[in-house]
Amino acid sequence: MAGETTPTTVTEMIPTIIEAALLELDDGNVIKQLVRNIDFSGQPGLVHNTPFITKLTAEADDNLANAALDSGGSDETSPSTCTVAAHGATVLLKELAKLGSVSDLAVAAGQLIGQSLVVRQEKDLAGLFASFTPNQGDANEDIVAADLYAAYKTLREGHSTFPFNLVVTPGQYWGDVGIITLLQLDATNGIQSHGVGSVGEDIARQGWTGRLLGFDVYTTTNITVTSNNASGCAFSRDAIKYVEKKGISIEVDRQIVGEVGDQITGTGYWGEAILRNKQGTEMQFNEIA
Amino acid sequence: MDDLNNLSKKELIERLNIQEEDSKLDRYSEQEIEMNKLDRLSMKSNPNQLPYRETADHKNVMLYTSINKPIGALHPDNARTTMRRWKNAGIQLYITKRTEAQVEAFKKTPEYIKSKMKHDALRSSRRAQSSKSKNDQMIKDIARVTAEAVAGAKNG
Repeated sequence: MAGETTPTTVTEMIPTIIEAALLELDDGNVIKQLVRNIDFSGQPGLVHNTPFITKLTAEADDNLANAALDSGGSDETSPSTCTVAAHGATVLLKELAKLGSVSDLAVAAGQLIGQSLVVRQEKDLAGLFASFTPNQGDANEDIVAADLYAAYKTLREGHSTFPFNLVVTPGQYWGDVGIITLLQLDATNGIQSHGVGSVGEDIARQGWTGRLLGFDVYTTTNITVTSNNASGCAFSRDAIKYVEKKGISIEVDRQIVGEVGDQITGTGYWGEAILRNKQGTEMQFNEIA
Repeated sequence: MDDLNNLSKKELIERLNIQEEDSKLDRYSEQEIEMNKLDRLSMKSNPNQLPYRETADHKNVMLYTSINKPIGALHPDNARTTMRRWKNAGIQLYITKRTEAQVEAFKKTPEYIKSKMKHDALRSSRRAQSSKSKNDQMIKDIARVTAEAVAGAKNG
C-alpha cells in the first residue's frame, strides 16, 4: 500500500547499533594438560635432556657378573632432547581504529594473541603424534574397536602408566565413520547404543562418553586433517614432554614514529619432544567415509 | 648547457618562454607527486587494517615416508630425532615429499609388498571382528533366511 511509513522510507532516521564483537574461537589447551610438563625456567641452557638407563636382568643363579648402568643402549632414544624455542605473535593496534571502535580492541587483541599462542603450543604437540613409531590405522582406514584394543596393548607393552589418553579430531569421534559409530546400533530408526550400562546411557543422553575401552577421550581441532584423514594419538603422560622456559606473556609498547598506535606482542618460550616412544601410539583414521 | 649570452634577444625571449612553461609543468607534477605520496601514506596507515605477525626463531619441518605419509610439522631437532628413531625401526624418512614416480617405484619393492600384505591382512581381520561388520553380516543372513523361507512356502 502506498503512503506507508516503513524502515526503508525513514532509513536515515534509524541508527545502526553495533554490538560487541564476537571473537573467532579456537580449541584451548587440551594436549598440554595430558603430557609431562617440565618447568625449565630459571635454569641456564636451552636444551633439556632426559637420559634413559637400560634395564637390568637378574641372574638365575649366584654366579653374578657385574652389570653396568648403560644410558647408551636403551631401547628408547636416549637422551630425549628438547630444544626450547621462541614463539610470538604481534598486532599493531592503530590509534584511529582504537578510537573508532565500539569495544576495547586492546582486550580483543590480547585475547586473540593469547589464543594464537595456545593454538601454536597445541599444534606443536599434535605434530609429534605421527612421529611415534607405534601406529594403528593408515591414510584410508575407518577405526574399529580392535584398533583401540591394539593401542591399549601397545601402551601396556610399553609399561605406560595410567591414565591412558586418546586425543582425536571431532570428526574422528563424531564423523560418520568415527568412534561414535562403534557404539551406535541403529542411527536410522532410533537411538540405540552398543555401549553397555552407563556408557550407552551417556551416548544416548550426551552424545559423548569421556571414557572408552580404558582411554580418557578428548577431541581437539588442533590436529591437522589431511583430506578426511588425521593422526590422533593414544598415549600416556610420559610419552611426550613439554618443556617451558617462560610462559605466555603479553606486553604493550606505545608506537609513535611511523604509525601511531599500540604494538601488542605476546611471546612464549617452550619446546616439546617425544619422551617415551613406546608410551604413545599414532591413531591414523578417517573422519568420513 | 647553452651559453645564453650567445643568443639573440629574440632567441632569448623564446627560450625563457619555454622554460616558464616547463617550470609550470614541474610545479604541477610536484603537487601530483605529493598527492601520490599522501595516497600511499594513507593506504599504509589504513586504520581498518591491523597488521598481525606471527614469529618464531625456527621453522617447523615436515617429514615424509616413502609413500608420502606426512609426519609433523616438527621442530628441526625433533625432526632429526624422529628420523633416527624411525631409521632404528627400519623405516627411512625424507625431508622432501616423494615424487609420484618415487612412490610408485617404492610400491613395487618386496619390502613394501610384504608390509602391505601384512597390513592388509591385519586390517581385514580387524574389520571382520568389528560389530559393524557383524551387524552387516547379521542383516544379510536374516535377508537370506527370510528369502529362503518365503521361497520354501511358495514352493510348498
